[in-house]
Amino acid sequence: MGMVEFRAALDVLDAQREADTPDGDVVVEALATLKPNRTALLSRDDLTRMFAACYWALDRFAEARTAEPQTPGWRAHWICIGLIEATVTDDAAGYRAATQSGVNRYLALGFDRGGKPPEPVKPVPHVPMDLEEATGLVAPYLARLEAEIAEKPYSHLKLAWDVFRRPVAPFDVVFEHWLADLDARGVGTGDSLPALREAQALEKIAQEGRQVVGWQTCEDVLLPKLEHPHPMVAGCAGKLVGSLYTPDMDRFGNTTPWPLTKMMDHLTHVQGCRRAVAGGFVVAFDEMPYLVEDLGDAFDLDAWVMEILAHPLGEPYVPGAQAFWFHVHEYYWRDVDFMFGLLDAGHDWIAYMCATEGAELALVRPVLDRIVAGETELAEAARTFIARKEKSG
Amino acid sequence: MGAVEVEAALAALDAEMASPAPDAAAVSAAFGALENHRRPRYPEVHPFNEVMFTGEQIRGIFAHCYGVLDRWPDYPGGDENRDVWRLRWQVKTLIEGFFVDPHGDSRAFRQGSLDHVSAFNRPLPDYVSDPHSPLPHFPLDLEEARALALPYLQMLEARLDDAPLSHLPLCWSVKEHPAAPFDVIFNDWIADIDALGLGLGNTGEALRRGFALASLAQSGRQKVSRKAMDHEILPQFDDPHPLIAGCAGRFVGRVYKDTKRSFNNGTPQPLANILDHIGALATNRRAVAGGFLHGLDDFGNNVFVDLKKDPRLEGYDVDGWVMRIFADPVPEVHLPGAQGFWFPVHEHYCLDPPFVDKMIDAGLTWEALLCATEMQEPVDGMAAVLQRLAEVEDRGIADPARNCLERVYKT
Repeated sequence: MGMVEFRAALDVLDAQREADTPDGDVVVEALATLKPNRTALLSRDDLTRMFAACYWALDRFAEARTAEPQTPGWRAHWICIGLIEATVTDDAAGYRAATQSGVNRYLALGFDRGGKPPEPVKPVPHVPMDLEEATGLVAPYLARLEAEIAEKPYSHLKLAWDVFRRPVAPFDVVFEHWLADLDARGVGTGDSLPALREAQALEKIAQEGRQVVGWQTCEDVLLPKLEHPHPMVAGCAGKLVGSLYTPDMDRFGNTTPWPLTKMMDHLTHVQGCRRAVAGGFVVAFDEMPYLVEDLGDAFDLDAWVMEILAHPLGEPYVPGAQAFWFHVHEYYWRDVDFMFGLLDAGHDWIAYMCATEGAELALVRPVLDRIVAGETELAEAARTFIARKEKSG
Repeated sequence: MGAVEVEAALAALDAEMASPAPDAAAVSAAFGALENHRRPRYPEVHPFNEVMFTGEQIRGIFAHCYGVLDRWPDYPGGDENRDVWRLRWQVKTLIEGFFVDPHGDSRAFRQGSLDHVSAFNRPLPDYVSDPHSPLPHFPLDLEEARALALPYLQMLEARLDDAPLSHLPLCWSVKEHPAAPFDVIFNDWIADIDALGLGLGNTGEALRRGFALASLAQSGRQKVSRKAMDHEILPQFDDPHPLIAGCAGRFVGRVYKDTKRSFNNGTPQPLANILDHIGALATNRRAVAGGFLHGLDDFGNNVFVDLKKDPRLEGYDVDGWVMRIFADPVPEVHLPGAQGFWFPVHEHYCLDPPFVDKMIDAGLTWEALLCATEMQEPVDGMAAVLQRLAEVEDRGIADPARNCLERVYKT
């Protein structure tokens, strides 16, 4: 495994690009070979050839993106996406420090974990290209992302989030320029770059869980951010406010915050991205049961959830804070009465997500049957789900 | 500074270095412009890290750097050669700046400041002069980078005969703040010099283990058992490589800073026993003691004040321990990762002329000089000590002592 295999796979892909009728299986196999053999130290030539092969495959199998999973085209599409996105981020950054820590203990203290030396620390990725060349390398991919923004104004943010959180030079600068350019042209929400900066700042402070915030600062600075028009900023503000309420830390210093229940009530009055804010707030507690534990029995969680969902603005996928529906479907997956409540309120998709989360079919069948009878867009999905469950017994 | 200014600086270098007798001051000025380019940029001037060196520019910079080192191969003495001295220093800094991440130690701090500005709508704190810390980027292939670094590595290699630890500070920086692809290039080079038995012959292992020990000491969170301390850690004091011994000292010092918190099993040896153990080491005694004091006091306070009032050392002769450490005839070497022993000694004993006198009696004139010249205001009794030092034969000791007497004591 290594560069020999990587370059052999590139040769195969070059030949397929020249062929009159490329063989999908051969292409997928070659792309799949690139993935594990891609090192942190690819040469300029290797990178250029890999990106060229990926762009060709993405075009060649353009129709396959939404095709049946596991077809050659579908696999080729997603392997290419994975290769490109892994190259513009430092995908080992998340565990490099942990690996180094294992190596340190092994070397210094003899903690040999059963006699096996620890996994070596992965080198820092190297992109042997000028800024201009690197910009040219990813330009076709950024153009693809940009084309999606008209329909999905937040679709580019996940990758941009990863690029800034696990940066690889010079792609961090390439993305910064690109986002600034999108904003200057008013593409998407027109504030992608400042929104990312602000959301990442809020999320990082929430995640660190150390910052003491006086109540006055929370009220004057953080609560207004819950009304931020960008769901990513609002969601991360929700996460930071939620993190201040986690029980094992005195994060408000010697000031007195609103009680948790009052803050929960405040969230139901958020006019902007209410669901995003609530999703961020809950994830600060990890998941709903921990929040419920802190709230006590007197709090009517079901009613609170319905009030959050009552806000008409849907939930676009944004990075940084967990979507609200996710918490709901994890918590209510066996609560059929609540699922019916969701259906009554028109939240069919969330009810469907609850019902298909993992409970036995017999329990959730009435909910699914009602979705099927509704003849909405979800009916077919519910019908398929029931059939699959019945078949598997 | 933008791309145009970089090109202008390189053109100035081209012109000056092409002349039969390049002027060191002019060459230095052109390098100064390049240095400015590498400094972090202010956001209001450059909202992004817009200007990076291109591969072509880097080739030119390395060529000129090596041209300077060929043209002026040594650091010259004398005021008249100040330009050459500065120029060599600039070139060394510029080259080594490519090998490490120059913001590696402060990036997280700077980013944290920016996060607070953004999250809490605060102004940037005054103490953060520039929050931007671009990632290092070297836009050339591994093999070309290796070829560009090679002459510099050969220069380092050539010094190893006379100074077998002279390459360690740079190698440590590369390990601590890596900048791709030089982390890989240095690893390969270190393996090569170890295979050739250059230096002390085990640079790779010393760096890996020293770095591991220093990192654990710095984190301050690692717990140990008495068994691990006795069987795994203390034996590393006797490692022949001073880097391993010094960093082991630092780790043990960190553990003894708070034994209640740091030991998770077994009763630790008393602190006095550890000091005695260090005082009796056959090798690298100063390196271990320096590292130990570093671990006890990461923040560079006056560690001897704390030691002398530490209840664990009641009745212990700390001054005597210092002299036992100095009795090791092996001179102190500069080690990355573990503070030199002389440093905390001179910070504390600069106010203790009788002790400095004793150091002179013991033949420790260099150490005594550092103590006696530390304070920039008169210390009662220190003038006589400086006078003794001013009368020794070694001009490297006598001249600075005389200067200090003139500057501080004859006002």
